[in-house]
Amino acid sequence: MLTKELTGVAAQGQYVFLGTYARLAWTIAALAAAVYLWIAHKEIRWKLLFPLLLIMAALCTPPAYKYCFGRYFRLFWILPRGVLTAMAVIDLIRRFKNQWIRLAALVLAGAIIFLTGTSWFNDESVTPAYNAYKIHDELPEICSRMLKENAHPRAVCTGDWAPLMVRQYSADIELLWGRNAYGFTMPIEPEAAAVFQAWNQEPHDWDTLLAYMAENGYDYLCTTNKTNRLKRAAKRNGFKRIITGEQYWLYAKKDRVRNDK
Amino acid sequence: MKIWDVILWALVLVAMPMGVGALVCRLLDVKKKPAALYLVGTFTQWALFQLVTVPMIWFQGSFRPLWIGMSLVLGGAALAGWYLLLRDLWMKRETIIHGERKKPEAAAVIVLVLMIAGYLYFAYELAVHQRPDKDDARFVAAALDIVQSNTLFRVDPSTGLPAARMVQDFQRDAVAPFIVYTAYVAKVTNTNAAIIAHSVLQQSLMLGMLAAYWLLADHFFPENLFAKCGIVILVFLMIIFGDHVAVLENVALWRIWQGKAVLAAIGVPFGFWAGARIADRPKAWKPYLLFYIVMLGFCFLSITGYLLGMLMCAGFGAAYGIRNKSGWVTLKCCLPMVFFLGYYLVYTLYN
Repeated sequence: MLTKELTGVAAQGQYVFLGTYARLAWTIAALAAAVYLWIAHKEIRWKLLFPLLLIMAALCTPPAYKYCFGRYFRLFWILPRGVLTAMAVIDLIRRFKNQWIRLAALVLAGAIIFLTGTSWFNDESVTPAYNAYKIHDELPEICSRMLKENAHPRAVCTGDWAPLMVRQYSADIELLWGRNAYGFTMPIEPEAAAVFQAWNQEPHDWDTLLAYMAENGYDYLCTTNKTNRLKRAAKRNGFKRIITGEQYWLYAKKDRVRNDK
Repeated sequence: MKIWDVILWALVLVAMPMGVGALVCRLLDVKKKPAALYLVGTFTQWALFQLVTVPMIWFQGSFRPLWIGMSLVLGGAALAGWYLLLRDLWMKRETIIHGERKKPEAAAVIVLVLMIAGYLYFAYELAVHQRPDKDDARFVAAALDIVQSNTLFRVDPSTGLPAARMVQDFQRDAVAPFIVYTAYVAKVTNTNAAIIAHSVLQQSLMLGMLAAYWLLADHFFPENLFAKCGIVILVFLMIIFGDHVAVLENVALWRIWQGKAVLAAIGVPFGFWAGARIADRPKAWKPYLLFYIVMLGFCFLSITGYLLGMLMCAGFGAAYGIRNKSGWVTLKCCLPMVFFLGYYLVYTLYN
């Protein structure tokens, strides 16, 4: 009874935690490290591993995990796999009497991690920091332009990131929707939800959105969408493009646009 | 970036916690090592923020009295701590300057240099890169809202509209309001909260992570410079090259300015250090008091901190209780559960 559920919990935890079953080697290394430290290092055994063992027992007891902890994968953060592995490796290394052999062994251990892994700082994971805010590079200019024309501009942002990043530049910018449109943080206002639903279809219904914006004082549209449909809808609803960036375009209601660019 | 800004950030994010830490370490008999001063001070600040902020949010208080009051209390404590620390150092100057010191072996010095170089590389890479995180739409934007609106959790961070009531993620953040610390640092240093979170706090928290692993290594391998530096180097290598999420500490890289990442990167190793200290003196109260401070800090960092803190209390309590054959030890370890329960009640009352 226990083993099946427990294996499922462990495997699920491993999967959610790592995003893959393939990196099980790290968990196995940490388990081996824990066994080694339990035998070789009395202080670590009583001060660290014994409490960890009891925590594991509590976490991996199926009813407790299911009902008390709600199958919450972040609970597995409490298992310090990296530091346990490092401690075991160092405990082994320090047994060499010659300091230069110890140094060589440490370099070897480091080299194994280096050669078998992939640097987190690669093009897929990170991009160069464009600015101190660490938001997309064209957004500070877009936000500044809105704030220059209006101390508390009201806007709509579309695209993956603009709705999330604009309010990290200034809290003075009010949005019709943000991440709440996708069910996060707070529930979306019913009216905004209705507009979002109407717009969020393929192809996007720009006329509904822009007409709503024009009527309700949302003077700016920041978007990554560069289709002719949007261009035509903007013209029909009295919006003019005032910033043409590589990534983002900013439209403003014509009567709000200043000429002092 | 002006030099004045850098000085101000260093004062608020490094000097102030170290001063507070000096005072608390003195009161709780913790050896005054730089890493301990920094982290004990940091967690004391966060524990204090947790005690004060949650009721203020609950009673719809404004941000101004909070940041002014905290600045006075923490600033005063930091000044007192620094005064006492420097006075102690002055009184022991002869011993410090002329006392006998064991010369470290060459390999240990090399490893120390490697560790510092590795840390600087890590800090540099984090400074020049960015990885946008969608949760920042709530964490960073909410901090900005707090500063600009002078309210505590009254504005929906997604839109900037007044929040009628707290629900979903926003409600959880109000019970574990690490966002307020970001807002506090932004306010007292007069810097945009996004710059604080993404560029400034990121660096000071990396320092905290280094300190946490150093302390843990120091606890189990004292007087062994090679081992301490070696452990930190290997952990940092695993973080950078450990295939992204292979070790829990990796979460630090994604978004260390967010409370849950701070919990994973600093809280967990520091919590183990604070817990392990109890085993040295299970009958004394002072190690428990430090443990309680860390557990309160857990509550401040993230709602996950409540669960991890509870597990940690129960784990240490049961283990040390069995080892010392004392239910009293278990009870003392588990006392922070009173906080968890109290805040849980607050959380349910929000509903």
